Amino acid sequence: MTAEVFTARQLEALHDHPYATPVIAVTGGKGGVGKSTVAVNIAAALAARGHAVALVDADTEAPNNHILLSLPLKDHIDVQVAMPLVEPSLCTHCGDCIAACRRNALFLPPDQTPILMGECNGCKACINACPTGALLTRWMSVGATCRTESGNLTLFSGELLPGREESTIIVRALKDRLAAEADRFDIIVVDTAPGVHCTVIAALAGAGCAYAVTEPTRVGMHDLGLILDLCEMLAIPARIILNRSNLSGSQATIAPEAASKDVTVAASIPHDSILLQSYVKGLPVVGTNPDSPAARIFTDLAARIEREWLK
Amino acid sequence: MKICITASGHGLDARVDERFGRAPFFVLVDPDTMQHETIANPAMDAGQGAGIAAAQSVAQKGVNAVLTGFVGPKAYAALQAAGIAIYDGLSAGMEVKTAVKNYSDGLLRRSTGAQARKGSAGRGRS
Repeated sequence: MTAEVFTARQLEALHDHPYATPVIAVTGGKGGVGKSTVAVNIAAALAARGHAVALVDADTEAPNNHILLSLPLKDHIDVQVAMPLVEPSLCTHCGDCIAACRRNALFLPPDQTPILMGECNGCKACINACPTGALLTRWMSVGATCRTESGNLTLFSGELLPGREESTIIVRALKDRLAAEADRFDIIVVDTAPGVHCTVIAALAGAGCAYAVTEPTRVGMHDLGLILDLCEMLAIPARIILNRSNLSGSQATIAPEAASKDVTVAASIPHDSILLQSYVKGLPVVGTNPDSPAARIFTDLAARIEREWLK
Repeated sequence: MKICITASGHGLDARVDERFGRAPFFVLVDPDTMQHETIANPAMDAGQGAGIAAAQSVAQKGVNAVLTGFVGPKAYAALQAAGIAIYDGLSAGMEVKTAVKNYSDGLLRRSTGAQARKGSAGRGRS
């Protein structure tokens, strides 16, 4: 029902990337369902099986994969956007910059120079439109990308500065940084932000499949529906991971939801105190307690991902 | 002297539109002669920055004062930067000519700051 939102050409452009390494996404609509826990454990399990894994923490507004892995954030690279800076001596008050700004972010008071008042997204249209070179480029930091290597696993993490709104730009910068060395990885695991907005779309772009993590609550089911719709729009095959699967409540509702969307439940993870302890410690349960029930589920999932994508 | 009244139609008999950035029309009036012209607000359907773009149109027309219902934070800043006086608090039922008369009679109050209106109109954020 939702598949026609994007044209085939738009989808092709969205999913295009300059490497052949398979990409799987961990997403889920609702916050707090365990997306990052699932992502770090899948990544750690794949790394333990001898694969070179890139884990991309694309939840740029609250990146925390490094905390769940007890890894430091290293090799910060600033992400900057271009803002116009007016050189008054060169400005002829022509108004071309005002006309060029699609976001109406610039204001030209009579006989004065332009003032940046609105929400600039760094497109530089005003700077390019200025006939006298009176608009200079001022680079403004909006966040950073980081890269931390730990054995077979390399964590790429993006973080947006508080109060900024360029989270999608950070996700793109993160993916560009990954692309530069993507060929040396066997698989890329992308952990998205919650929600179904542009940051999540940018994170899902290029994924061969998406694991939608949810929990058996009414809120979880509602938000699962949203993310499954988004995956359908983006033509990304989705599977469900039901976390806290033994939570008493609306567990029965998952089957009809899955059936109506033609997706399968790839894993059900019951509430597990060992998993919770590993989360608190900041170490993947597949490493700390490889024989625990949750670790076996993640390892089994990693083995299936291996069969599907790494043979 | 030229004043701008935000309106839902053309001319002095039009009704006031309470919004500034997303008003359909601006009626520009010389209160001494009552000579007037109506311009469409090109920012009415703008995706973003309607208040700033509307202020730009008004400033380019050499307006000295804006009479409207309420002005969002960015439009307020832009009008201030252009030295245009802001009179807010007009209600939508009023005719433009009545607003002009009230202005001439000194019955309108100068705005004390940007207004946010609940659940409607502009999306201005400060």
